[in-house]
Formats: sequence, C-alpha cells, structure tokens
Amino acid sequence: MTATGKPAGPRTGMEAQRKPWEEVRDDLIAQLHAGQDGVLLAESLAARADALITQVARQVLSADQWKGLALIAVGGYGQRMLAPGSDVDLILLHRWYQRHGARHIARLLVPALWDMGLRPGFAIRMVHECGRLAKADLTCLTTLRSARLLIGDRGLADSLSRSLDALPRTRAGKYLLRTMIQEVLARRSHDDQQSEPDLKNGPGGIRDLQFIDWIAWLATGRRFAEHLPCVWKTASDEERLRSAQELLWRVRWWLHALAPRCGDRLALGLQDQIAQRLGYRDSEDRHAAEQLLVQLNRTRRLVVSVLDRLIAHFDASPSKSRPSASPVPIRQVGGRLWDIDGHEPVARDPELAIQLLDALAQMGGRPGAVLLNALERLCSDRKIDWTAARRMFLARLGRSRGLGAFVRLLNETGLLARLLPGWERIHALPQLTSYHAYTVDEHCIAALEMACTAEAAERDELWNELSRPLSERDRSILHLALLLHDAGKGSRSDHSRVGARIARSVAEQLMLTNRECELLVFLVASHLSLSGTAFHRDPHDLASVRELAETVQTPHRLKLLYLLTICDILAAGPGRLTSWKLDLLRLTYQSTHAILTGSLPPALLGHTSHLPEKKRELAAQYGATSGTRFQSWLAMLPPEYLHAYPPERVVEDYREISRLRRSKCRVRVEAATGSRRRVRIYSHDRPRLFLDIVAGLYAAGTDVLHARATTLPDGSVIDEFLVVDHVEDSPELRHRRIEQAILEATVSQNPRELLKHRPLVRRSTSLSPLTQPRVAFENQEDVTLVEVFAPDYPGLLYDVLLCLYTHRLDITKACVATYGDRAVDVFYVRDQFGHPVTDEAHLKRLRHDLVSTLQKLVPARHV
Amino acid sequence: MVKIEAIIRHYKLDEVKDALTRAGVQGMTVTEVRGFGRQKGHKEQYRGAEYVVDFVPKLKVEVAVPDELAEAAVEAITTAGRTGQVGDGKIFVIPLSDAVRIRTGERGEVAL
Repeated sequence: MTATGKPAGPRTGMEAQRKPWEEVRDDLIAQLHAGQDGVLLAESLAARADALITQVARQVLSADQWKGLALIAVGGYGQRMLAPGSDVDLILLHRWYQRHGARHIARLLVPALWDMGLRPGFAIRMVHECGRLAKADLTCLTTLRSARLLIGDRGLADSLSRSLDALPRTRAGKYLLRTMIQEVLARRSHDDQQSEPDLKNGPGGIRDLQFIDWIAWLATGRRFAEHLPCVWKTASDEERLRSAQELLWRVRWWLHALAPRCGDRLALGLQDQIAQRLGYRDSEDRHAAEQLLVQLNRTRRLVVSVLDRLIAHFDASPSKSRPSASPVPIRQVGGRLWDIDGHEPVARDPELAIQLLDALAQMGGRPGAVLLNALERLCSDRKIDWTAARRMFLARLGRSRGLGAFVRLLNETGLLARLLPGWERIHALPQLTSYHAYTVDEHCIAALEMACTAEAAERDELWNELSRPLSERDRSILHLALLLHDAGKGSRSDHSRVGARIARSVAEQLMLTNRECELLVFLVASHLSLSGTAFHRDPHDLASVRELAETVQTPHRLKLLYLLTICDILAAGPGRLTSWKLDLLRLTYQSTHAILTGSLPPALLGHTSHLPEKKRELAAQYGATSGTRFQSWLAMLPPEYLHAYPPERVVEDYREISRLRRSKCRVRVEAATGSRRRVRIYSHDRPRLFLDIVAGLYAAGTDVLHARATTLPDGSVIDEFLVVDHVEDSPELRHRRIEQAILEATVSQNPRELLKHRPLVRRSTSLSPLTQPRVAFENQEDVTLVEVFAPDYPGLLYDVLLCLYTHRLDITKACVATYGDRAVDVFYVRDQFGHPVTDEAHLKRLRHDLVSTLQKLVPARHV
Repeated sequence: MVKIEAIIRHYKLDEVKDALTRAGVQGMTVTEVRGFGRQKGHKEQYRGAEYVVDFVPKLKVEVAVPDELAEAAVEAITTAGRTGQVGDGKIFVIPLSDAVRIRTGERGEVAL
C-alpha cells in the first residue's frame, strides 16, 4: 500500500510490501518449530490470511461500496486449512448490476494482494455461473463447496450456499457422485510411489480426507460429522481420522517449511530430516525416517479404508447375489457393503471370520461397521487359539481365485498378522529405495496377486508353462513364500536369512510337513539367488550357474524359485520387469535346469563354436591311425559330452568302445579323493543295463554319489559313476572286486542273487529328519523326466531303478547327484514303445510306488 | 568436455562403477540396452526348440567428464570391463558443446 492508502501498482514498492504475508508464514513456522499442532497451524494461517485480505479489501472499498459484491474464500482456504505453500483461492461474487464494478475492484484488489506477498487464484463470477460450473465440473464443485464469505454482501454468499446445498438431490448431483468415485479410484491407480508419498493427492492423503466429506455430502446431502454412527465407519474410526488429519498436516507443514519448492511429495532426501524434527530417533532396528513412514502409512491406510467403505456403501452398482459360502447370516447394508447382526460369533471364532472375509472378497464386498468391530475384538483377544484357522488359511492359499482380494481384506482388518507370526513387523514398513514402489507388506501381497492373476502368465510364457502343472499343495507353499519372502526386512541383518528364520517359525505354526517346511525356508532364504546370478554374474559362465545349481539342488525347487522371482520383480513396481531382465532370468533358469538334468546349458550352446575346432584337433591327433571310423564316431557325440570332457578322455573312451565285443562290458576303476572311486563302464545298450550296473556297484559294497549316463546314437553306452567305497582293503583288490561285481551283474543279469553277498556296511551319512521323499515328472517332446528328491541311503539308486524298470520304463539318460544327505536324481525315461509317459494314471502309480519305496528310508536288509 | 558412452557386459557394472569412481568420475547414467557387434546374434537351443537370439542384453554407461579426465575414464572402463572374450563391448567418446546444471543454471565444466 502506498502512504496515501491507495492500492499500489504491481511494481511499486514490491519488495517492501511483500513482507506481511512472509512474516505471517515465518511466525507460524517458528510456532511449528516450537511444537505447535499441524491442524491448528493450518487454521491459524487461514485466519491470518483472512485478516490480511479483508484489511486490503476494506482499503480498496469502503463498507457501503460492497453492495452487490462479495469476496469469497474457496478451496482449502475456504475450509480454513492452509499450508505455507498452499494456494489462496478467491472468488469475487457480484450481482448483475455490479459487472463493471467487480472488474474495477479486481484490478485494484489483486495487485494489492500481490504486494502483500500473496499469490491468489482469483475469479469473478455471478451466483448462477457458479451453480452451472459446479454441476458441470468436479473441481469447480469441490472448490465452491467450501465457499466462505470474507467481506461483502452476505445475501450473495447465502444464495451460493443454497444453490450448492440443493445439488445432492438432483440428477446432476448423482452424476457428480459417480464421477467423484471414479476420480478417487483413478487417482489411486495413478499414484503408487509409496516410498515417496504425496501427502495431499496420494492415496490416504489430505485430498482423500476431503473426499470422505464430499462423497458423504453428495450421497446424503449432509456433512460427514452430522450422521454418526453409520454403517461404513466404526466409532473408533472418527477419533483415528482426526489423528490422521493432524499427522498429515503436521508433516505437510514441515515439508513446506524445509523445502518450499518441493510440493507435497515427501521426497526420500527429506524424510529423515522431517522425522527428526517430529521427534523420531534412530533405534536399533529402525531409522527415524522408517518410523515416521510406518506411522504415516498406517494413517493413510486408515483413510483409504474408510473412504473405500464409504464408496462401497454408496456404490451405484450393488452386488445382487448373496455370498453363497457365507458361514453366518449377513445382510447388505448398501451397495457392496455387507454386515452381520451381532458381534459375538465372529468375535470369538477366527475360522468363521476367515470364511466370512473370503466370501466377501469373492463377491467384491466390504465389511460393515459391526463386522469390523467384531474383527477388532477378535484380533485383540489373546486367549483365542488360531491353530485351526491357520490350517484353513494354508489350504485356502492353494486356490488362486480371489486370493489377492481375500489376503488384502485379512491385512486390512488385522487378521493376517494373527495368522502369520512375524507379519506385524513388516506391516506398513516402507522400503527406502527408489526401486521399490510399495511398502513391504503391500509388495508381498502384490507379489502374491501377480501369481494368482494372469499378470505374470501374460508377461512370461515360461512362467505360464511352469506354473500350470503345480499341485494345490505346492501352490500353497509358493503363495506362502511370496507372502513371506521379504518378512526379514526392517532389520539390519541380511533380510533373506532373517526371513528364513521367520518362515521356519511360520511353518511350525501352520504345521507344514518337513518337506514343505524345507521348501518354504529354501524359497525365502534363496529368493534373490536366481536374480543375483542373472543380473550380477555371467549367466554364460558355467561355474556361476553350477554354483546356483548347487544351491537349488532340484529342478522342482528351481521351478518354484523362478516363479517366485518373476512375481517378486513384477511386484516391485510398474515397469520393473523389463524384457531385458526377463531374458537374463530365462537364460539363467534354462542353464541351471540343464545342469540339474544333465544337459548342456543353452547358455553354452551359444558358445559351442569351439566344438568343431575341438573335433578337428581330435581328428588330427588320432585320425591318422583311426581313419574315417573315428571321425564318424566324433560326429555323433552329443555336444554336452564333447564339452564336458578333455580331448584325451574322448580318445580314451573311443578306444574302450572300440575294444568292446558284442554283449560285453568294459569297466575302469580309478581312485578318487578319500574312500571315493571313479568307475567308468562301456557297454552296448540293452534294457535294464543301468540297473544291473548299479546292482553290481551296490553288491561290491559301494554307494553311488554321482552318476552320468550317456547313450550314443549307435547304441554304445558310456556311464560314469562317483562312488563311496565302504570296504577297507587295498585299492588294487577293491578295484578288481568292483570290476568283477559289475561284470557279473551285467553278464548274469540277475542282480538279486549277487545282492545277497553284499558286505555289511555302516551308513556314512546321517539322515535329516526334515527331508521327505518327493517325486516330480516333466514331459518333454520325446521323453519324460523323472525327478527324485529323497534322503540318501545305501541302495537308494538301485531301489529307484528297480521301480522304474518294474514299470517297464527305459532310461535313456540319467543325472544322479548327492548333496550332503540328500539324493537328487533325474532320469530321462521312455515307455517300452519309445514314447514319453503321458498317461496320468500310469504316472500316479509310478509316483506312488517310488514314494513308497523311498519312504522305507533304510530297509532292514541293507544294514 | 566429452561424453563417454560405454556398452558393457551387465555383470561388469559394479567393477566399472568402482573403477570410474576411483578415476574421479562423480556421476553416471546406466541404461539397460540390447545389441550385438562382432559377437553377433547366436543360436540357442532349449528342450528341442532352436531359436536365434539377435540381441544380447548389455548395459550402457554414460558419463560426462572434462577433457583431462577422459583418458583416465576410458582406461578405467576398459580395464574393469574386459574379460578378453568377444562381447566385452565398446566405448564411444563424443565431444560436448555445453552442460547445464538445472538446479543452479551453471554451465560448462562446473556443471559436470
């Protein structure tokens, strides 16, 4: 203002006259530092803005000149809630005869407000124009809804208020309600950066708190606070919403105070600073920023939950059918909101609660206030036994349909924390990295949803192929692993290890079998191993892939690990699983699978350009004396064989094969480390040959640790075994005895007789009580893979082979391995007609027989 | 000033990043890319099906450095990114006419 009291032009004395508004803000920020409440500060700033604006307005016009004019505060300012960086929105209402006067006043008023340091949003309107705009545009409606007279003609302000109050009862009001609900849902799907929450426009932010008021008003014609109690909100929600508002405003004030240009998004770089200002301190397992974000996330979730229930209540498309599976009578209390009549049964019975929530989730319904109260009582009652409910939950995890929505309801109502011990610590826990868009629990549930919906299957054909044949029980374990894979986050230790401990404790609570427990713990402990090899190591490097194969041990576990890894990355946030990553993951999976099943990894097939060179070298080295026969033998060698062995070994194998006479067998035994021996057998293929060789090895007092069987296209066989010798004697004698036993077994073809003379041996390994036998099948184009995973015992391989041959299956290739006390054997088998086994009944019988055989563990006759 | 674009093996990123940091380079941009040079596409076979992989996953590292640091940065990438096998990647050095730090408006080498 100039010294004469006239409004100053926009440029005159600008620097000096900006100060009043800046001083006001600085004063209130000082109060913030002193610990003042956020909501009170927001109200104080609005009140100080009122004082400044009315003061300027009075200087522009005297009181009697405001006839037919009214200066109205709208938007957040109209609600008396301002942050330091908030817009100040004003409307100058006028009657028809004040059209020119209003423009004149605006020309005086706006520059004067700028000179005070304010940057008002300003519009000149008549009442009927406001009404028209409010009916047509949601933003105009919500801005005008909070209209408040600052100075001028009260009649104008009242008539604006009346025109808006009539809106909920009109068709336009119903249309606006629908549009508003769509707007809320659209906002939610667009903003998913939970690591940097938007305090105003993000899910559960200040705007959502306003939406609760606006939707309640549009749907009922009454303000939110005026119709309590109601079916979509519990009594405790009211108090919690007030606390939510206070926290959101307090954090927003600090954000604006510390970073005026930052907007309303709580950026990663500011979180710790603001947390410290709010009194949070780093503790042993949580940073101050994490503590703040946990509280903020829980607050925002409450707002979202109340808003969702409100929307469900007033949903224009209510669900028509009753949930058929509901265990107790429930009634529709509006839209998609369902409720029960009394607390008691549900508040005492967790199984009932689970069934009820599942039924609601299946039909897209949401729980009403009575049900929510009952669930709250159920969760807080520490005397209730959850054992049966946990079993029920585990069984439900095996069925994908509607599982995501069900688990979300469990999480929202607090039941998930009671079902899964350890879940509470990751509830609403932020992930302070830009890679993760969601909190830990949201991420885990999203990963589960990726597996249950078509998302992962559509993104990756291999995922689809691998997930289809999973049994319901394996699916349960996979889904449980997806929920728990990041359960160890929030501690300073390696989260995979901490998660594995939590997974073991959950497995005990859920009473998983030993095999299932072991599988779950493996998946949680190793959930980063596949992606680690794919992204941080060379998946073309055989040593890296072998290391992963040793961790994974079986093709079945690898399959589940792949499924988990894809869902984990998909659930980190939109766009996280790129085709670049997918290619590397597939390559690593295929390479590891090939190693576990005794094939040459595809990663190395791309680098087999050296094999022709190797063949040429071999031909040059030995070809002069052997001529074309050696070269034709070289030509039929499979790449995995050629790749695996050095040239001198290939030449040696050729020589041994050349010396074979029909139906004869040649055996070579060499000492390996300790009591181990390496045994090579050359023969011509015939049915049961592999079984006879194993019987011979077994009869000689050895046990097979690793085996690799190769059948060449001309019918010659090269089998290599690494065995542990249980009999102490001179190496020469032992080698001769082993050779003799194999020759006897292959020539007599009657291993039963031979086995009677097996020397008495002690077990060299202790059995793990956690390991139980498991058999899996995988049909490929022309062969069936039989995967056997079992606690190792002397004679296991023989028992398995006997079972396979009893089912008239021919083994074309085998990969036998022992990891500690566990045997992992993969056999490539065909039926007697040379076809893969596709008959489900046959496979079922085979599985039953194999498992029965392996469950004997240590048959009495062998010890 | 020059911009250095290096196409490297993806699993060499940590080593290249450490080497560049040691050489005095302060910031870098990393992008997932695909491509092939002399490595060509290669054939892969998995479970009986043969398919051709035309483009191999690689990472592109981009850094902008003053002229005097360019040689050291290239050397750092070369040493850290090398395996000696075909497919180790390429480094491109491109002259830069200017650089602007958006926050402050500073230009030239001070903005790097």
